[in-house]
Amino acid sequence: MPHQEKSDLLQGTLEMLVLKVLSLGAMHGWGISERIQQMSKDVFQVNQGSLYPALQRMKRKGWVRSEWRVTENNRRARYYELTATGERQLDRELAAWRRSSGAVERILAVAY
Amino acid sequence: MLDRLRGRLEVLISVFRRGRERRELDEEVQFHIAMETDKLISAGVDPAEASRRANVRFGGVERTKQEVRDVMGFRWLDDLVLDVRHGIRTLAKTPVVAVVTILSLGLGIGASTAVFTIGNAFLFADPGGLAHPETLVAVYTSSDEGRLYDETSFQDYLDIAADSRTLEDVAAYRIGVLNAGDARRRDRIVTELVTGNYFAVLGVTPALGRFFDADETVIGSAHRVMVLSYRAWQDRFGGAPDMVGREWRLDGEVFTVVGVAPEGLRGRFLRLDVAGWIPLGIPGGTYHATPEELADRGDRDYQVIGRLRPGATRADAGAEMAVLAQRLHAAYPDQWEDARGRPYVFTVLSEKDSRVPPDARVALAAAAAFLLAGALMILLLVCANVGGVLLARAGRRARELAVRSSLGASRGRLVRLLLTESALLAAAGGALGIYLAYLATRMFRSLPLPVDIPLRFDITLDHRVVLFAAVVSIGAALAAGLAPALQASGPGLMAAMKTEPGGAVKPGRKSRLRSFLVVFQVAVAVVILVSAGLMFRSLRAGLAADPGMDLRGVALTWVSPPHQDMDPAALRRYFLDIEERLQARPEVRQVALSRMAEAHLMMDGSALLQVEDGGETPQVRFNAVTPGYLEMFGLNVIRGRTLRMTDGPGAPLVAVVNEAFLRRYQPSTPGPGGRIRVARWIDFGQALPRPAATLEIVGVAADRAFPGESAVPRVWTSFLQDDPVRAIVYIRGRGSAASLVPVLRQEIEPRPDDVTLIDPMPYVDLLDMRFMGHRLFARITALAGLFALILAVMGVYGVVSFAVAQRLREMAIRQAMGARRRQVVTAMLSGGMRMTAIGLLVGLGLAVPLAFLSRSLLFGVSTLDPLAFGGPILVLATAAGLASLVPARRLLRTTPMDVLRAE
Repeated sequence: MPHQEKSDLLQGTLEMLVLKVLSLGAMHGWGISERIQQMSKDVFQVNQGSLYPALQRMKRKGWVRSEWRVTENNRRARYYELTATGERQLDRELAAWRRSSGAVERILAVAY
Repeated sequence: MLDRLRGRLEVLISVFRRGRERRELDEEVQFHIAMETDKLISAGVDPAEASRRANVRFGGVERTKQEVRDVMGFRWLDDLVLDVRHGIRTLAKTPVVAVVTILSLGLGIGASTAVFTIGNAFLFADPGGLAHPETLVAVYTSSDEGRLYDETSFQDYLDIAADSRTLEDVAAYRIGVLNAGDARRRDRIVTELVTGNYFAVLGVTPALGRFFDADETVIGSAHRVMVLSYRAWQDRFGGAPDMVGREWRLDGEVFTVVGVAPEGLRGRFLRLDVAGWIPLGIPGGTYHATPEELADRGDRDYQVIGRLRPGATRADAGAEMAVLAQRLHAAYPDQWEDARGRPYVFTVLSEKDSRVPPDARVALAAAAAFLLAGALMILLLVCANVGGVLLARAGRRARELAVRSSLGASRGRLVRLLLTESALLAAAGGALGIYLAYLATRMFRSLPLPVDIPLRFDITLDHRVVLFAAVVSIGAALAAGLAPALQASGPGLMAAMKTEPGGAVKPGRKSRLRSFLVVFQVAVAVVILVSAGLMFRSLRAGLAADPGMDLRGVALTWVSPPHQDMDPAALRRYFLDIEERLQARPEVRQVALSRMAEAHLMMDGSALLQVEDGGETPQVRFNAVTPGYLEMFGLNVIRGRTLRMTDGPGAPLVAVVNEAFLRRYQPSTPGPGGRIRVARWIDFGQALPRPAATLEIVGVAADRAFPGESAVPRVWTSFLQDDPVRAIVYIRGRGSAASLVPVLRQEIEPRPDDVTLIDPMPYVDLLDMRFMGHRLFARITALAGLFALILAVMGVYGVVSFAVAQRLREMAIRQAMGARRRQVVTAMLSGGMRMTAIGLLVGLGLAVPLAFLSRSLLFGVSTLDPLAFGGPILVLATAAGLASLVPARRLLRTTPMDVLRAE
C-alpha cells in the first residue's frame, strides 16, 4: 500500500481533541483514544496508530509532556500531561474552532 | 516558551538515547494493544480473536513506530546505520570485486591527491611562520625587458637598502652548500648565507638562543656563527637543550651555534630544508664570496627580500625600484645592460609569488594543472568503471528493490540505499588514496638526485589536501553510484518485478558506448604495459652492459683535505702519500687517483679544456689522472705510451687522448707526437687560474662508451702536473668493492676527528645514478600499467556481468530449447573476449610505432622485444578471460527452471 501523508486538517483536529482530553487530566495513549471515542459517541474512531505521532509532535511543540507511571493494574504506561503552553493552545484552538464553525452555521442558516 | 524549549531539548537529547527511546516506544505500543485486547476479552471476545482485532484496530504497528521516529527526527539516522550495515554485507558477498574497486578508486584518488599535495606545497602552502607575509616583497633584477628573472648583485642590494623609501628594511641572501662534519655525521648541507637583518625582515623570533649580532654580520667579520634550523636541531642534534654555544665544523672551520630558528622556518627557495643560516660576510670557505665578488656590481648572485613600510604597497615599491634601476643603469651602463644592450630593470614580486622561481612559476602551475587534470580524468575513468560494475549489480537486485518499494520505501530511500554502497567504496578508496598520497610525498621528499647536495622539500599533507581528498571521494561516490542507483530504482521497477530479474534497462546505445570504453581501456593498458616492459628490459641490459670503463670491484672516495690552503706541492704530497699507503695494503692490487669521476653523472663533463682548433675553441672533456688510472679501468693505450710518474711538475706537459678525440680534432695525425693547445681550463663552470699551455700527446687509448652513447672525445692529463684541491681515490682488490670501503676509511682517516671529507662507496653505485632517471621512469610506467590493467579488467568484468544479467532469461530459454550449456556460456564469453581481442589489436597497433619512435631511448634490447610485447598480451588476455568467466559462471549455475520460475 503506498504511503500517504495525513491531511493537515485531520492532523490539526486530532491534536485539538487530544488537548481537550488531556485538559481533563493526565492520561496514557490508549486512554486518550478511548476517551475520544467515548466523548464523540463513536463518531470518531481514530486510527489508533496515528495518535502516537501526533502526541510526539505535540511533545516537540511543548504542548504536552510525558512521564512513565504505573496504572491501577500495576502496569507501566507513558502518561501525557498538558503544559501551560498546551492549555493556552487549547484555548486558542477552541476559539478558532468556534469562530469558523459559527461562520459555517451562519452561512448554512442564510442559505436555508 | 519554556515548554517549547524544553520539548526541543528533549528531542535533541533523545538522539543519544535512541536505543532506549526505541524500547520505550515498543513498550508503549504494546501497552496500548494489550489494553485494547483486554477490553475486548472482557466484552466476551475470544482471546486470540481479541488480540487480532486489537492489532487491526491499531493500524500498522511498524508504520506507526516509523512515523513517531520520523517526527523524532531519528529516521534518517536509523536508516543510515541500516544502509551502511546492509552495504557492508552486500559488498562482503563479492569481496574480490569490492577489493579491486577500492584499489582502483584508491589509486585514482591517491594520484589526484598526490599531485594536488605537491602542487599545494609549492604554490599555496603557508610560508611557515613569517610575520605578515603579505607585506613582504622580493626584488629581482630582470633582463629581456623584465621577462627573465635574475638575481641581484650585492652592490645593487646595498643601494636598494640605502635608498628605498617604500621598504623599511631589506635583506639579501644566497644558498651555500658546505661540508659539515662532526663525530656522528659527515656530509654536505645546504645553508642560506644572509645579511644581518634577514630574520628581522622576516619578522621571526628564535626558538632558542638568539639571532646574529650587528658585529657578527659586518662584511669581512670573522665571527663564525650560525643559526640552526629547527629541523636540523631535531634531526642532527636530537633537540639538545644546550644547543646554544655548541660548535659545528663547516668547511673545515669551527662555527658556533648562537640560536635555533623557529619551527617551520625554511629556506626561501621552494621551501627547501636548510640546515641553518650563516652571515654572508664571512671570508674564506668554498661558498663564501670573496671581497672582489661582493664588490662586483655585475656578479648577480643574491636574492633580495624586503618589508614594505606601513602604508606602502607593492606597486609603490615597484615604481620606486623602476626609478632606481634607471639611475643605476645610467651610472653603471656596463653592468646594467644585457647582451643586446637593453637595460636591466627591477621587478618587485610579493613574497608568495617569489617562493617559486618566477620564471618557473607559470610553467609549474601549468604542469601541476595538467597533471591534476590527467589524474582527475583517470579518476573519472575509474568511476565509470565502478559505475559499470555497480550497474550490473543493481540490475541483479532489481527484484529486491521492487519488494522494498512495495513495502513502502520511497524512491529517494532506494537511491540512498544504493548510493550507500558506492559511498562506502569511495570512503575506503579515499582513505587508501590519502595513504598512497602520503607515501608518494614521502618518496618525493627524499628523492635521491644525481647531486651530492641534499635537496629536501617540505611536502606535508595539510588540511587543504585532506579536504581535497574528501571532496574528490564524494565526487567519485556520486559519479560512480548515482547513475546506477537512479536507474535501478527508476520507473521500470514494477516491470522488473514482474518480468525479468535483469533490470529494466534498455540495451543499445549505452552498452555500445561502454563496450567501446572497455576496448579503449584494454588498448591503453597494452600500450603502457608494453612501454614498461621495454623500459625494464632496456634498463636491465644497460646495467649489465659494459659501461665503457671496467668499474667492477672498484671502490672510490672523494678526498677533500682538511686544509684547503695548502700549497700545491704539499697537496700533491698529501695525495701521493695516500696512494702509497693504500698500495702497501695487502687487500689492494691497484690504486689510482683522478681529478673527477667519469662515470658520475654530474662530474663527467664538468672538467673541460678549451682547445684551439683552427679558428675555433671547442671544449673537450679532460681528467687529470695518475699513471695507474687508464690501466685500472681498461682504457687500453693502443698507440704510444701511458702516463708515467716522471710526467711531473717540471716535466713537459703531456696527455693521452682517445680515438674519438683524434677523429674529431686531429684526424690526420697518428696521435703520439701531436699537440693540443689549451686556451683555458674549466672546472664546474669556473675558469681555473692556470695559464694557457700546450700538451704533447704521448698515447692514444681505445674508445669505450657508456651504453646508449657514442664515444666522447677525451683527454687525460697527468695528475702530477695538475694542482688539485680535492681528488678521487680508487682502489681495486681481490674482494668485492664493498669490502674495500673500510680499507679506504682506515687509510685516509686515521683520526676520528679528522675532517677530511670522504665518502667511500663502490664505483658501480655511482653508475646506478646514471640510470636513476630511467629507473624512476620505468617504475612509474609499471605502476601506471598495473593501474591500467586493473581498469581494463574491471571494465571487461562490468560489461560482461551486465550482459549476463540482461540476457539471463534469453539464455535460459535457449537452454530449455535444447542448446547445450556450453554453447550458451561460450556465446557469453565470446562477447567479452571479442572486446579484449579488439582492444589488444588496437593497443598493439599503437605500441609498435611507439616503440620504433622511442628506439633511441632503448638500448640493449630489440625494438620488438618478444618478452616486452608478449608478456602484457598474455597477462591481459588471461585477466580479461577470467573477468569474463566469472559472471558467465553464474549462467552455468543457473538452470533454466530457476529463471523461469522467478517470474
